[in-house]
Amino acid sequence: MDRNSIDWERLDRYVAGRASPDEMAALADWVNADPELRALVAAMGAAGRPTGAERRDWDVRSAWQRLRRRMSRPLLHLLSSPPPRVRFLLSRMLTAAALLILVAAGSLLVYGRWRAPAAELQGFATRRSQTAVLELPDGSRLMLGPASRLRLPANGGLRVGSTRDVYLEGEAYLEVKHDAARPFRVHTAAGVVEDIGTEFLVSAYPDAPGMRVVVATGMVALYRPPTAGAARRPLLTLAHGDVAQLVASGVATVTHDVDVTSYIAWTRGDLGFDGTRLGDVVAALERWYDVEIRLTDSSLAERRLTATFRRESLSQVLELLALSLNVRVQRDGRTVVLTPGPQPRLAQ
Amino acid sequence: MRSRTRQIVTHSSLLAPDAAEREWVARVRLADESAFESLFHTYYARLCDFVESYVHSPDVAEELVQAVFLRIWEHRATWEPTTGVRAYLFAACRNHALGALKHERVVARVARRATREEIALGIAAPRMGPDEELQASELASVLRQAVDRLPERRRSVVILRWQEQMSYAEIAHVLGISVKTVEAQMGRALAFFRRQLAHLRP
Repeated sequence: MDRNSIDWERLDRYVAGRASPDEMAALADWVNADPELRALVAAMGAAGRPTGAERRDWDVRSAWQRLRRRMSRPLLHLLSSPPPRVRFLLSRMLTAAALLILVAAGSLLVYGRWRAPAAELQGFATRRSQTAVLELPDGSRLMLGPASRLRLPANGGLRVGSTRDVYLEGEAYLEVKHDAARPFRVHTAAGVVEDIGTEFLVSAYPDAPGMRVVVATGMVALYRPPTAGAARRPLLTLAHGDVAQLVASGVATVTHDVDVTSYIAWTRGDLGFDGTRLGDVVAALERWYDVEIRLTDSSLAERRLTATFRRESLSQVLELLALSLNVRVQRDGRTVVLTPGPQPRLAQ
Repeated sequence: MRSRTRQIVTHSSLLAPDAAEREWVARVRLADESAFESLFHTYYARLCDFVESYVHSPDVAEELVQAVFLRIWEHRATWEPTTGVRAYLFAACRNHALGALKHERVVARVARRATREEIALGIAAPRMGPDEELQASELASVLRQAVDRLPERRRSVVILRWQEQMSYAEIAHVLGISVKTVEAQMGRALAFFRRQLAHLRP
């Protein structure tokens, strides 16, 4: 073989598989007739691998096991444990990679700035578009919604002999292992929810007034925020199907026999709205899809949406919104602007 | 930056993911771990190969690829690989690798330069044995080293085309460049190989 006259274009088409079946057959004959061309073609197919390695044996199975362990780890970071030391003078690629992963997994560390009032609390936080499941040491299970923060007693504080007080900002769905001797209490800025054998949802985002409690099964008791000296007497007792809205001033409104499906849909991976104000829908979408949504007309906020999204993409959700509420959607990356759609033309 | 975005948009119509892939993505969005696992099994080794061509370390390559998959899983609810799963994965891994390299470059610029010079020297030196004919395996090894000497983008074009058998449009998407540029890069790479191998002629 004359190396000056190697037809590289033909070799390239052959290795890239970019030729008609007939031409591929002809190319194969041409290559196979020459041992050097054969070797060259083999090398081209393995061009990115280090010299001397035809094929690297990546251990895909054990790599998957490693990844799975990291996947099943709650998305949350224990912030009371000493934060990982990050040194900025990294001398090796490996440390650089480790740092990268730290950054990828650890953007939650931002939460470290959110100081717990008592030193023995540990914190968890989710970002927008994230949820997380926490298996608590007492057997209770807690699902934290997007852009939410939770503090609970550190170092197995939920074990025997301690109270079970957790502090929430944002939204959480709780399946509590009931223990009459140790009530499970969820504290928010607006009040306290105490379980009486229950699955319930607490929603207390700072951008929404007060807190909402939705009881899926069992019962809960609702308290005002604790004040020194005040008698601890429940404000309300809620049973399943009850939805209570408690504002910071202590006024509560309760709706009975509610189909709670749309409220807790997100715990199953859906996102549900049931006659929900667009203003509230928008706040939820911002949290779930990590976007900024602006309403150009304040009257839009009062339009009502009933819909369930099964993890539709943002563009699909917006399309549905546009159709069902007659709004015009303009999207530029992570910013969305909603304007009132054209007035429907009435039949003459 | 603007024009780059526009380029990608024009290609995306050529790269619309087929129905099977959409199904795959939809299942991952719903936290279907088995769908995610088969995605992982299909692409993991290939992505590690690709990333290793950047970072020259199998351990680092694996870490970077794992980080990409972990990130997809953690943000699965909003995962939208509009131009196809494969192009998305290769693009994400490349970005990760470049990020790691950029950091490393700041720290160890000097060390890297030395390594590169060593490689260059190794290639420049005649590798012919006393035999008249070059061994076929040596030909292969010279080609691989030549690939390694290509600039980053050109090397990736070659690898994605020969190893992944991607179309020019798909490569363009992975690298965030135009199809025309991909074609030009490939042409230059072939010319370079032609020179390198001719240079070895006994």
